[in-house]
Amino acid sequence: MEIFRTGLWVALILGVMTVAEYFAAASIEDGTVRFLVLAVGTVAEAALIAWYYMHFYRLWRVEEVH
Amino acid sequence: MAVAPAGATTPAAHGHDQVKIKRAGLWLFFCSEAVLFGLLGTSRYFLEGIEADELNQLLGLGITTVLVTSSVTAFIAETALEHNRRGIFLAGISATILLGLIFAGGVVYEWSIAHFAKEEIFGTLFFAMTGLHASHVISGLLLLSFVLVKGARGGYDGSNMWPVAAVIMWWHFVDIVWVFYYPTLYLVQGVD
Repeated sequence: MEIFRTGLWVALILGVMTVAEYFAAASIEDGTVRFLVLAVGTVAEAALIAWYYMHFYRLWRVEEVH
Repeated sequence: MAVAPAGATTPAAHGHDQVKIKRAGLWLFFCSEAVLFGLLGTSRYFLEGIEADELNQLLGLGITTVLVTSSVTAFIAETALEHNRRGIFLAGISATILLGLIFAGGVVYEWSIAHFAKEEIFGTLFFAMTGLHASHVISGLLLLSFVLVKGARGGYDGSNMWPVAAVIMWWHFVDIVWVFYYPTLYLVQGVD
């Protein structure tokens, strides 16, 4: 449905990134590179959740009464 | 005709300010919690580098997928309530609680099969990190259950939903912590 569309796209991206992290950990031999790839992926996932699901941007927005 | 004194706010404007202050306070609380979780996560790298004992990788991937999915159902519940779709809201909260219980069960199962020698530092870190996180999961489940019961009685709607939004933000925060802990505990040492 329309009101959930953005959130569901984010969910799809999070799912793909979670599985990609697993396969990256399984395939990257170099420990430093593996750490860096996982770190970047993790920060990106956290940012997506904070922005789209936790509505971080609302901290600076004039908004409706809840 | 009555004239409002200079600087006076309407009830609606007062409500805006209240929610903004509550939201800012909750984010400050998240910051303090992030320090706690961050220090524990950092100690894992300080003490063990990227080395670790073997854990059940499929179980780790499974419970991570479940927890991330629970964030999606929580988002659906919050969005539905914003649009006064009460049925979807209640279904979303119920699904989030169910997925949270499955995650907690997975962690407990992992504890039951993870065997570490007493002197193994990674074992201490593993139980400390997952234990602290699990305590937050349990608190989130209790809060979600409260919201579900009150929501089922018609306690919330699109114009009165800050308690729901706050609990769901808490749940997302718990999810974010695990997003960091999952690779830290399971993946960074590599998967065979």
